[in-house]
Amino acid sequence: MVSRFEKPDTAPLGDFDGFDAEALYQMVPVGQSRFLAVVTDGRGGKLRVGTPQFVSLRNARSTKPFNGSPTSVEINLPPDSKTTFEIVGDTSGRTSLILEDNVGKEIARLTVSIKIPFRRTFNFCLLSDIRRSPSFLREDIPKIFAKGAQTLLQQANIVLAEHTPRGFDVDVLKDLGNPLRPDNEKIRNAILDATPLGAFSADFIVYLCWNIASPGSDVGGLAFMGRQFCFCEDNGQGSVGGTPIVVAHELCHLMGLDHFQNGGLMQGNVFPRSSKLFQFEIDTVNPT
Amino acid sequence: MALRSNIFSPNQRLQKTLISDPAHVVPGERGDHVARIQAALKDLDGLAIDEVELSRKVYGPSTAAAVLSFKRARKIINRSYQTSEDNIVGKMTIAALDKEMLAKQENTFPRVAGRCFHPS
Repeated sequence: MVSRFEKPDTAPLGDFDGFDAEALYQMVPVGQSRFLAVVTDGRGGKLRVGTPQFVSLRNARSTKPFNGSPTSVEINLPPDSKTTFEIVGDTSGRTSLILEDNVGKEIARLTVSIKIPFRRTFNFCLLSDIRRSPSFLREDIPKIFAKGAQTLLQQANIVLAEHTPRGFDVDVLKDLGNPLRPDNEKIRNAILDATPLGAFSADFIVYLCWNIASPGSDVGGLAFMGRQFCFCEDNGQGSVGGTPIVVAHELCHLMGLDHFQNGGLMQGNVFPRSSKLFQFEIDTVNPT
Repeated sequence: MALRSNIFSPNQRLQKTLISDPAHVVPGERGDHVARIQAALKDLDGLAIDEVELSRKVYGPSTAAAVLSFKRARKIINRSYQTSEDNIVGKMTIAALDKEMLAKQENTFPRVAGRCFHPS
């Protein structure tokens, strides 16, 4: 077994806290911390901060006694041990945590991106036409967005805020059809034309709809990448099920992410998907 | 008693029309309440309404003609003071429009769907 980084079971936010095990990457918000662990082989080793101005280490604990007290920039790692510690984000930027063996040879390097809060605003619009309204419960809507916002906050330090409290009702005085086809330009324009101008003041608009379809298939959400608006249907699981994930997924499209078939938030063709974001996705949605 | 259809229920002006004679909707008016009446007339009977009246939400001659046609087809006459249909939207007319729009309304249900689509 080679010494390695891992997310400790005791990390309060779990795996979905901006950690990408494959890319060896950890996002840390400025002024906050993230928990990490290093598991060592029989040689032990050392963990050190690449550029100390960006982060500091604290609360190091190990399954074996330390050889020398840990500092904010360096921890001596006992052999065959598991050492947990916190990485504190001091200044916005990027540095590395370098894991070395007992003779100073580099074994692994974890990129640490220290991000400032990146504020994005949204308005939700409850869509209805002359035939139908969506099945969303009004009291569920804030909870749906709160849950989606939480995952973006803890993984990418995106502060997703509602621009206009209680959103907007968008009544289209036409029969838009069921399923709804927002990919159809005429349908889409009818919706946009009926949308109050105030809704466009936010970075993003999320239309909450009835059943949505795209060419040839049923879908749960539909987004126009690089544009301001997306569409989400009620998947029947309210604020505790998959709807917050669908909303977060569509919002990430609006922030520039494409599908990434790796089981994470941007998985495009299965349901349910997890809320996991990967390194390149975190750095895309929050470039700070 | 209140309007219940998707198209009429959010509009307070039309809610008043249902219960108040002075709140009848008459030729020359304009606004969201007129647009809702126009949309219902088109949807229910396929009645032609001038594009300018539609875009300006104006109760103009073609809207008035459509109202009259709708009322004639259903014989909506207030026999307490008239013998033939007119072209205004009063209590009986808005109630009839609301009832027919409500009958065409669909219930929507939560869906479980997996995929996401974003057009290029």
